[in-house]
Amino acid sequence: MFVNPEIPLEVLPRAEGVCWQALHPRFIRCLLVKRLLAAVAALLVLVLVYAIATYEFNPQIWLTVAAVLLACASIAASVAWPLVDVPRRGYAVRDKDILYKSGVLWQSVKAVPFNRVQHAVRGSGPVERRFGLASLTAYTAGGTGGDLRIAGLGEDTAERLRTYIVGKPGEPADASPLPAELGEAPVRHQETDAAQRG
Amino acid sequence: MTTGETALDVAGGWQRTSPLAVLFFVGAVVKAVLGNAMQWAATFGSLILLFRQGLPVVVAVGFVVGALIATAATLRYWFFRFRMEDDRVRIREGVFKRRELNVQFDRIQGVNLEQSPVFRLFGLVTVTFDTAGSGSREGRLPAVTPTFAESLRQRVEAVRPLAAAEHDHADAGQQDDALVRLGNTDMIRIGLTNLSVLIGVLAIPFVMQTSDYGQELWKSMFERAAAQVTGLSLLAALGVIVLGLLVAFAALVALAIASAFLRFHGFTLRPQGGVLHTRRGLLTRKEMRVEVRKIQQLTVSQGLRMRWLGRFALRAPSASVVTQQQSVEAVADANLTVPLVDEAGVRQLGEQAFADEGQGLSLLPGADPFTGISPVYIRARLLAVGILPAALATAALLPFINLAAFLAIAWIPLVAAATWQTWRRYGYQYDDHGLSCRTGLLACRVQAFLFRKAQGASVRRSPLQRRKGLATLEVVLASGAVSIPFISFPQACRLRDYILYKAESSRQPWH
Repeated sequence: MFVNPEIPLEVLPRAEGVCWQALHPRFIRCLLVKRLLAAVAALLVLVLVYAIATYEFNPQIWLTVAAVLLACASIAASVAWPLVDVPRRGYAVRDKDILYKSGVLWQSVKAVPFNRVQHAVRGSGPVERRFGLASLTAYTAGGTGGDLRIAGLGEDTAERLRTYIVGKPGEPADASPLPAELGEAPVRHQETDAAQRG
Repeated sequence: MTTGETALDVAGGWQRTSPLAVLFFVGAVVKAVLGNAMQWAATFGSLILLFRQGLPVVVAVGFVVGALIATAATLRYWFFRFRMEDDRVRIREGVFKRRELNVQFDRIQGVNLEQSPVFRLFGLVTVTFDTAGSGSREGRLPAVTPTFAESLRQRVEAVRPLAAAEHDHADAGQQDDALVRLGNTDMIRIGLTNLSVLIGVLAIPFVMQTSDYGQELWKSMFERAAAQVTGLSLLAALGVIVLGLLVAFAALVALAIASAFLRFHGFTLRPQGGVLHTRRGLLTRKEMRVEVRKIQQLTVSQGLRMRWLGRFALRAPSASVVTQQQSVEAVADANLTVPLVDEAGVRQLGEQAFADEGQGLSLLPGADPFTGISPVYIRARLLAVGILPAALATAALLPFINLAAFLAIAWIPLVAAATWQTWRRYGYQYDDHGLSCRTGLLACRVQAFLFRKAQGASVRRSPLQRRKGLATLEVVLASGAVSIPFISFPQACRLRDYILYKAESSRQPWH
C-alpha cells in the first residue's frame, strides 16, 4: 500500500530563496547598441516601403502621421525595453542545478539540473565581443523547451560556467544535499488548491 | 544471402548487404518521391495527362520511369556499405552527397526488425535502430539475415550488462503471457476509430475537381446518375442517393479496417524482463524491442469513439527521435505504441513501465484522484482566445461588412463552452515518484511520468496569475513537455523543488 507521510516542507531547498546573480553591467549598453542598429535598419526598410507605397497613391495626411508616430513609438519602445527587462533577469548556480529567471510581465524561473545537461555552448556575436560579453546555452535532451540560455555574461564568467556545468555530471550522485528520509516523502499539499477551487 | 551470414566473420571490413536490398531501396526511392506533397500532386496530374495519350505512350513512359527508379535504387544499393567494429557500427551511404553514420552500441536505443513480404520469402529482415542523444537519424540495414540481426542485438545488449542479465532471466522462464494481444475484432475497432483514412478518401473528390480530366469524369458520372434517376419516381431517386452514400461510407469504413489489419494484424506486446517486445503487421511484419528504463512517459488517450468502445490508445515514447519525426506513421514506428487496449491492460502496462515507482499514479482519465486547476484559467483563456480576437476581428471588419462584423461576437460563447470543458478536464495527481496530468476537450489524454526523468522544470506567471497567486508549472521531459497551468504559486514551487530534488539525487540513469 502506498504511504504518504507529512514532511516538514522547510527542509526542501527552495529556488525562491536563492541569491540571484545579476547579468554583466555592460549588457544593457550592449543590448541598446544592438537594438539601435536594428532600429536604423527597420527605419530604412520603413522609408523604402513608404516611398513605394506613395509612388502612385497619395494617402491622407492623418494616416501618414499616425503611421509615422506608431513606427517611432514601437521602435523607441523596443530600444528602451532592455532598460526595464535586463534588471529583472538573473541566474543562480547551485550545487546541482542552474536557475534562470526572466520576464517583466510574463515572468518565469527555469531550472536545469547539471546531470541532465548534454552539452553547453558559449557563444558571442560581433557586438557582444566588442563589449567583452558572451552567452551560455546548456542543451538538455528535452529539445528547445529544455534548453537554458543565459545571454549577457562576462566572457570569463561564461567560460568558467561552461566548464563547471560540463564537468559536473561526472560526479557521483550520492552527495545528496538532503537528508535521506526525504527520498520517500512527497510534497503533498492539495488543501490549498481545493480551497482555491472552491 | 550468404553475405549477411558472413558479415560477422569479416567484422571490420566494409561490406554491402544482400543484393535483395535493392528492393528496399526501390521502396525508399518511391517513398521519397511520393512523400513530397507537391511532387505527389505533379505525379497525379501527369498520370491523368498520360492516360489521355493512349496505351503505347503509357507503356513507354512507365518503362522509362521504372528504369529510372531501378537505376536510382541500384546506385543507392551500390553505395550503401556498413562496417561492424568492436564497439560501434558504421554505415556509409549516399550517391552524390556521402553520409556516414557512426553509432556506438551503447547509444543504440533498441534494435527493431521489419520484414516485408518479399524479404519473408527469402528469409531476410531489415534492421532499424534508433540512436538517442547524438541527435542523428536512425540507422537502417536492409536485407540482412535474422541470425545477423540477432547477433547485432546481442552485441548491443552485451554492452549493457544490466539489460542483458534481465533478458537472460526472462529467457529462463520462457512464457507466452502476452500483456496485450489484439485479435480480428480489435482490428475492426481500430478501423472504426481511425479517422485519418476517412479524411484521406474524402479528399479525393476535391483533388479530382482540380484537374480538367477529373472534372469531366465527375460530370459524366453525375449525368449518368441523373439519367438513371429521372426514369424513377422521386422516392426511388432519394433511395438511390441514400444507398449510394451508405455504400460509399461502408467502403470508407472497410478501407479503414483493412488498413488497421495491414498495420496491426497479430499485435502482441510481451514483457521480457526489462524489455517490452512488440510484434505487428500483416504483410510487412515489424518487431520492436523497447527497454522499460528508456521509456520517458506514458500517454493514455481516449477519443470519443474510443470511449464508446471502452478502449484506450497508449504511447510510451522514449528519448530518441520523437521530436524530429514528421509523419504519424514514423512516430508510431519509433515509439512503443499500443493502438487499442482496455482498462486492465493500461493498468498492467503502467505497472510494467513504472516498475516499483509511481504505482500510485492514475493512468485512466475516468479515475477520480485528479486535482483540478483554478477557475481563473477560464477567465484568462476567454480573454486571450475569445474576447480579444473577437473584438479585433469586429473592429477590423467593421469598415468592410458593416454591422455583419458583429457576428464575430458569436465566437465568444463557443470559446467559453470549450474552455469550460477543458478546465473541467484539467487535472493532475502525483505520488512520491511521479506525476500524471489529464487534459483534453472532446478526447481525453493522461500523461504520466516519473520525476527522475525530468530534464528541467520552470514556473511561469502571467500578470493575472501573479494577482491571483497562481502559476504555471512546466516539466520538460526528453519526450516533450508537460505543463500544468493555474495551480497555486506555492504549490507549483514546491512541486518544482521536489522534481529537481528527485532528478538530481536519482542514481538511476534517465535514459
